[in-house]
Amino acid sequence: MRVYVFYKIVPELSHLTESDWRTGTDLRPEERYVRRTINPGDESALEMALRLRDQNAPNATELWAMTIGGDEAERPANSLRALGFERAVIIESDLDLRFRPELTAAVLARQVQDAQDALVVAGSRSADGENSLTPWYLAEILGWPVISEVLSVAVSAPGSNVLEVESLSDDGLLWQKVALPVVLAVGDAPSTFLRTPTLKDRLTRGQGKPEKIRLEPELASGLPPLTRLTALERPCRRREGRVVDQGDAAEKAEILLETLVDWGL
Amino acid sequence: MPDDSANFETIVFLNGASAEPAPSAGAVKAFLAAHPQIEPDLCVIAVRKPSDADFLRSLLPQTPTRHFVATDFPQLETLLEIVAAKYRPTLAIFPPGLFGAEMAARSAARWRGTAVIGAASFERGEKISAQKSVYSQNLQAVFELTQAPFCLALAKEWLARREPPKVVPPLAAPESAASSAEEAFFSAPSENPPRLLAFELRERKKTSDLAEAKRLLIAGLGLEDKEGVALLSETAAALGCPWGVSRPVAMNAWADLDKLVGVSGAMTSPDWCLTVGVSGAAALLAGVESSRRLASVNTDPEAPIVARSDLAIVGEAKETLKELLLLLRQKNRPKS
Repeated sequence: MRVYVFYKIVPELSHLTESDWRTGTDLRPEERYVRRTINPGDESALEMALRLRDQNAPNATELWAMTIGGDEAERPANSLRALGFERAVIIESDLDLRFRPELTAAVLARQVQDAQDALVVAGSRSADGENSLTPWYLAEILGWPVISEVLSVAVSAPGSNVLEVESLSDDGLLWQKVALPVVLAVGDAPSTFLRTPTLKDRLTRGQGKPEKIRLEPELASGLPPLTRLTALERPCRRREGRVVDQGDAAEKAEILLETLVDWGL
Repeated sequence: MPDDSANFETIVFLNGASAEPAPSAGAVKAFLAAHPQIEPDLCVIAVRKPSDADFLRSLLPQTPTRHFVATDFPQLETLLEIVAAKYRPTLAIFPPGLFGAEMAARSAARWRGTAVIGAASFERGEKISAQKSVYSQNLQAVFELTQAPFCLALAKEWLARREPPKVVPPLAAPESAASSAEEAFFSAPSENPPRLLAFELRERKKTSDLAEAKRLLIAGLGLEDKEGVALLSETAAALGCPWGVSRPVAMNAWADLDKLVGVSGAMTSPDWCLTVGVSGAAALLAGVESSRRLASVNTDPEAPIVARSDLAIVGEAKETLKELLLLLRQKNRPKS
């Protein structure tokens, strides 16, 4: 079974200061100088793929990790190879794809369209674009079923092409047994932090230049954007109330309780 | 069944087959009230049995409805097949939540239109545009939408803006198909979609007490560990209110996902809310900013939560909770 995990490298948004959030005419916050990281939902998707491989029969799972980006993707790609992804491919592009889920999906679909009995796992939404569309657009292009808000995935028996998937729906916790191919969209999946490669893993598998291919330019030119960003603003929702930074914990708790009583406790 | 060959301009979709259908339908109603220029001419409601639609139908009493009867999940696939083949509106509105987001995305793909997930507003002027949060709720974006049909899955903020729930007397419920010219029923086939070999709803979604809470205690990673959650639960009991957590706490599995507050969880609008050990990530703040009063406890005076609070205590989460619990026990002790 071949498993494709699509991931994205995003800026670590918690590191942006208030002034970094001010956007100029380029309609982009000042994110150039903050650390880059694997998008949280995609990190869960990568870990789920590794767990699937661990659970499956030896050599029954072939893991591919793919991302669209530039040099910032090299280090994570090497880490993924160190973790055991057979291929870690970077689709090189300098296009602004933050709000282009239709193009992202078309590019990724091109990579898997000929695969037989494949599994695609991807995060539901990215920290920056927050489109929440790419996995579903991808499934529709491929004509594959899609399962949303996946919490875990396992093979029904070692070596099998049938998966057992747990996911959340508006109804509750859902269990499904599905045959490949299928797209899994991963949202908030507890306890799925991506494992860290050991030094030995890095030295044996995570060395050298990652594999790179070019994003086909005709694909981008043939797909005009469905949405055009016209404004990007930081909403102002300040309350500016009382700040208590003096006194010990007991005194602070007393002020807190008095206030809550005043508010109707 | 009525003839649906005529074009419907604006279709509203509601999910009556979910664990909590009323809040998401209330959110759609609030959105329509804020957008009087949008006049739905068809309402499609997914239900388990026709009578489940009574309450939802009463929300848009003047709009013709079509019911999609699905005995169980995952029939969404079939609803999508039918809807995408049968209709092609200019505007389709879907409720907040997983059903709405998936339906909006996949309908847009099939209709070759444009989807917006988490739509805060929609404007049809010289240009068609929609507003939504991006950058993990840190920024508000306006997008010009270029290609109809426009499929909007509403932002969860609309859940907090809906009117308080009212008891609505049920309408006379048609139990059999196509009982009036204005209503029709589609039924899901009994077979599963191809490639789905088996399915089971393992745990029905618990009704969350967070969204309707009048008082609320919410904690973040400042709790430090799972033991901190026990202290949180004890303090919430002494305060007489439910408790919730931020996304990182839920991702660490210190608390169940149904305790999650923010864009991925409950959107709340209590009279007062106390947050402890929460720095103020925008995704969480979106879930509590409708609180009438907000108090916070955090070690960092520069944390975003401080400027968003009516009262900000600079201090350790656990330590403050312990002291607060002591005071509450003294206060609640019966006087001899």
